[in-house]
Amino acid sequence: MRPYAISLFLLSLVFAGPCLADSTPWQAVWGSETATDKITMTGSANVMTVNDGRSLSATAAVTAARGKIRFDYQASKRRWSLIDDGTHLIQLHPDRKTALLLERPTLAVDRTLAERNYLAREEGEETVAGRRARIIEIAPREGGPPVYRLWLDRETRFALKRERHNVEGRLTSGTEYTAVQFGPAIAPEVFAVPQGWVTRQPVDKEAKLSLSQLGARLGFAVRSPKYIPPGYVLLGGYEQEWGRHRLRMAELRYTDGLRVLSIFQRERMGDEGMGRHGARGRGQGRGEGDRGRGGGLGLGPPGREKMTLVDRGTEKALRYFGRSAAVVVVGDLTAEEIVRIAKSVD
Amino acid sequence: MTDRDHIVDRLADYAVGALRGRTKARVERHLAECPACRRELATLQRTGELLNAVSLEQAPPETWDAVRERIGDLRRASAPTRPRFAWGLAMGLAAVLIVALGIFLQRPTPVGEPLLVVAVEADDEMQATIDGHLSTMWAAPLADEAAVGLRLAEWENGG
Repeated sequence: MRPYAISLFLLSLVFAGPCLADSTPWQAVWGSETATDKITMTGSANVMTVNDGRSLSATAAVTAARGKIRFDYQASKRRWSLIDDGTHLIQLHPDRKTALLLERPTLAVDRTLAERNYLAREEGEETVAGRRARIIEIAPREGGPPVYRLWLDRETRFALKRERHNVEGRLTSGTEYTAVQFGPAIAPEVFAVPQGWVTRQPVDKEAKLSLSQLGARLGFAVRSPKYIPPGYVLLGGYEQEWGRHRLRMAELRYTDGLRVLSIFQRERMGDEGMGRHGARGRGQGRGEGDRGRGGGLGLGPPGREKMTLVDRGTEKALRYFGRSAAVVVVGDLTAEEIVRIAKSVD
Repeated sequence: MTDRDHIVDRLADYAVGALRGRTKARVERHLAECPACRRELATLQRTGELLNAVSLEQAPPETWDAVRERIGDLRRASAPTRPRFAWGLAMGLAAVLIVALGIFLQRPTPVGEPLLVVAVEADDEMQATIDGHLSTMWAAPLADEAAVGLRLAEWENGG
């Protein structure tokens, strides 16, 4: 073989390398997750999501470099910013000159889990923000509507457009870039709290705990659900405390590789969530949906159990009062699946 | 006297003051006309006085032991024989009833399946869990960070 032929072969390998790396849809998808580790970019995007059953939308100026990303949102007359610096999520409120630092959550999800449960398919190409993008659709292997549709930049693998659908196939969020520039110089201060701003840090770092450790901290027996939908695995247990009433609960977090399922538990107080047959009749439970049925003799078993379901579009939340624990299940699952999970905790 | 016998039947009650009303009045009218009944009444009254004059004495302990033993003999002699398994069977049935009652009282779904209430608004507790879930979604694989950030801002601003 002549020397120039060998050189030509080696050169072709060098230039074809990135393309070969994206030869499968999953490789392209995972490549998009780390795209901003290697490049700098600025751009503007239209963002929408469903929250509390209604659609929210905003435009966002996006800046990314060295694994950090910043979104400067504009919605109506409101402006705010969100920075992920790899350690914290920092919400900047320019009107108040305050910064809220939230612990950046970490989810050690095994990518092969997603590949086992979902199928990534190439759906052609389109131009987004003036750039050629591969369209990749990710749907459950066992059937059902796609969860994600991604438009990945051919050159950088950056996701130029992204759509998320819930378990019923409804579009629940989407981001589409209208302009993008790769490779600009970006100052490190872009990803830091501006000098002189008030900083609040309300949440402690969460630690992964076993069931027995959670039980010891919270003072009740934390239970593992007997039913989890196929494909889901446990990520860990965590102690959580939120809200005005500083609710302390145990959280068991599961994933199927893409979706996240959270199961919260706390000790049940008395007969909350349940009416009682009998003398006092209706409405002896506490809280929403706790009405009893009444009409009995006042002597007998607790009344009909109550479950409260809230459908946010992006996910559903269901509260179930078991014999000893109050359970809240949150996830993008059908109502039937969520009920089954919650009841299996008892 | 045709009703004398009836009066004799009442004299013992009259002697201890147990008669009232018209019965007592009739006995007194008869006593006023009948010397024989007055004598009978006098005899009854003296007997009573004699009985009241006698002091009570404590019986020796062995007397009561003998009485109890005798009563026991009479009961055993008169009672029908019962097989031992009958008592065991009764105890077993009672235990089964107690367990069944316990299960009935503790059963979690006494009126069928739990009632599913679809709420439009989440209360504080459910909202807290949804928010907690949302914050973890930032780190979920393939998360649309821009969209999650939009929801987080709504959360921070109270929805």
